[in-house]
Amino acid sequence: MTAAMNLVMKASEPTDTELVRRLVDGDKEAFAELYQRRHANIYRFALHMSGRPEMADDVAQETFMVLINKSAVYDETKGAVNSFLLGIARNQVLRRLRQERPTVQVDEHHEEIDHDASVHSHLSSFARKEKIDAVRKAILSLPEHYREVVILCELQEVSYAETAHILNCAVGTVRSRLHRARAILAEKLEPARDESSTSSALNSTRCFA
Amino acid sequence: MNCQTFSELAGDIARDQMMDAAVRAQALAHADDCIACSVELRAQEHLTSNLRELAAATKHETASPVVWERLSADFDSRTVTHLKSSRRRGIYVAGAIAAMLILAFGLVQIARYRESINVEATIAATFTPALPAQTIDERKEKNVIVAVKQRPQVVRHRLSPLSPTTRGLTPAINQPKEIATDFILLTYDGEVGSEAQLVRMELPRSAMASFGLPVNMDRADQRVKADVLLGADGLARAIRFVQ
Repeated sequence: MTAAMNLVMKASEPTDTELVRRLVDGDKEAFAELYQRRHANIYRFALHMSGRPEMADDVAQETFMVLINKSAVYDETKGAVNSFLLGIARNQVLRRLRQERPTVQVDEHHEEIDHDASVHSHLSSFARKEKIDAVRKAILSLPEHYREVVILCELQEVSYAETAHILNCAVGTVRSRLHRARAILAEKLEPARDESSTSSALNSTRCFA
Repeated sequence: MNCQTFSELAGDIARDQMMDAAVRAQALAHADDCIACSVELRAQEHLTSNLRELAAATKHETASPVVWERLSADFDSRTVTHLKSSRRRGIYVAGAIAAMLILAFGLVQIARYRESINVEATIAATFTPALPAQTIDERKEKNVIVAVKQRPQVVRHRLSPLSPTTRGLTPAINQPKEIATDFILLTYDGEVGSEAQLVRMELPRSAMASFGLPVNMDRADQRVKADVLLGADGLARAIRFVQ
């Protein structure tokens, strides 16, 4: 009964596209609703891409500023509002990362993440925290074009097609990048380093028949 | 299935992606037989688990409240600016329209004023001081004379070829009690000069016939009033008949 009521309530909620239309007309409530729905996605994408909460804040703000100023540009036939926003966020992140590249180091990200209270509060144990930090660090160490695919497809659960739209590339490219990125990550996050020699030995004996 | 193909599918299998059931079964069967592929599949599953854990751990991370405060303020200021600019634009448009109306009204008034001066000047030139038999209002005549004195060049210009302009002004000098024909030139050059005089006289009605005007023969013996325009030399330049 409750589930049915939830479904009915969701169906009566305005879609993102309707909210953008209202935003074009200067409806602040629509903007607030859209922000409430989508800002966390944008923030997390920027956070995973940069590893820096303050940059993620800036990117989220900048993304929605662009939405305020250019909401009329949005074309619903070209993709969902979420994709539109992620596309803007991606451009913002890449621009900032390129500007700051000479001074950004992966270890610095790691250090800042260590101080992130929100992450700490959600981790049940130190070991788990360490593991998650290691995953974060591994993702941050990926080249940008692999990193963004992993974040979108794995962490944000965006479909291949939508990811391809956001990254402005072919679906096949997304698949191949993700495959390569996963291979790099799997290698970096191998459970026991001492097994690597065994793994290498196994690799040499793999069957290609 | 070989290891190369399996490697391409390992990620999708570990992520539980939709795929052909037969292909999936083949891949899993291959992993059971091949140790290397089995290890790779475990590594991929481990990676998937780690990534999902990270996604779950960061699921509730959101931007700081300051971001919304800034955006909200920016949205408000943008709306206010937009309203102000549109209101200001409306005021500018209204002002421009008002200015144009005032300008148009002023131009019309100036044109009317000039026209009235020209008419008065022309009348003055036509009716110089000696107009003994005129029925035109004396006060107006006085004004006209003053106008003529003040603007002699206008008078000269208006008077020298005596025709369309002067003829067109005939209704202006006619008073309600009188109906007059247009001036009929008595000389070829039509030059009147600035000292022209208009003399009212009476002629036999039959005289109208000599100017090509229709005459009622029943009243041919009656007399008709006529205005004769005399030049400075005393010779008649034009004539009109008045009823």
